[in-house]
Amino acid sequence: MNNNEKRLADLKAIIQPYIQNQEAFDNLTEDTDFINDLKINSANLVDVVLDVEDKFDIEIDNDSMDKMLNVKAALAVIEDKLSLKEG
Amino acid sequence: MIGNDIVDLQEARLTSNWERPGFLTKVFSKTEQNLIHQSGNSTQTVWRLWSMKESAYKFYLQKKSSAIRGFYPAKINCQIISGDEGEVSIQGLILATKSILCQKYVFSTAFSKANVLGETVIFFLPQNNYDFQSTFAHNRLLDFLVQKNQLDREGLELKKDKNNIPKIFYRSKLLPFSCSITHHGNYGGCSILSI
Repeated sequence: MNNNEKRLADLKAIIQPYIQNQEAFDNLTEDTDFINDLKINSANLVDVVLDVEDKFDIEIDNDSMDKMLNVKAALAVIEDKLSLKEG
Repeated sequence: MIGNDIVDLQEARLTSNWERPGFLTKVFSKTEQNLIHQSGNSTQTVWRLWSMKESAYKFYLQKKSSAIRGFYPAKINCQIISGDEGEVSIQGLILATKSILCQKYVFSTAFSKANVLGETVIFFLPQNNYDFQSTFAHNRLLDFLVQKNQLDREGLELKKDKNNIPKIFYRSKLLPFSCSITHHGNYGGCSILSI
């Protein structure tokens, strides 16, 4: 598994407890929307963000959280924050 | 325009832990966090402020069709005016809110200060399952319209636009109503405003 695949697998494991549409989760792509497709409750989107912070040991500021509505955007934020950490 | 949001308090207890570290700072301003900590019922205050923000966000998406969706609860600022009234500022708009607070749920509606509140129906959902809730809530909204306007139920149809905003059609013609639908756990609500 390369780094990108590993991150996607980690992200999927994080969001799984909060999904309310199994079919959309089974067919997840980068364009899958957390709210419109996976039907994640918006309060649980806060949990997703906090779980991502814990898992990757990064801090997600409010401007980054603002964009985290789909898989692609979440992966981009993780990538961005990890690169800052590695300096 | 009208926006609404409901929080089933039992469901929230089971699925959202607002006391987990970091939760409050991601969602609320310092002033709002003080309101929560000073409240005699912090859990109710958390979900009241949350539903005020959510309903204002739904109003904003209706108002501005070019609006880009985003997740920015901490940038939506709430003030509590009285037991059930509030004021919310979102992207430069100032909205009024009205909340219903009871033991089972918290429900808020956001509306323009120049406008009236509209009409709301709140209902119990016998099954806590997303697809069931969604279909049930849609049907309740249409039934509510039939009851209020003596329309033929067969001719009514609900469609959602790209921002997930419900639009009501009667015999394929768009009706002049703003509406908002919400459901969570075992409770749902529909709000309608004539425009």
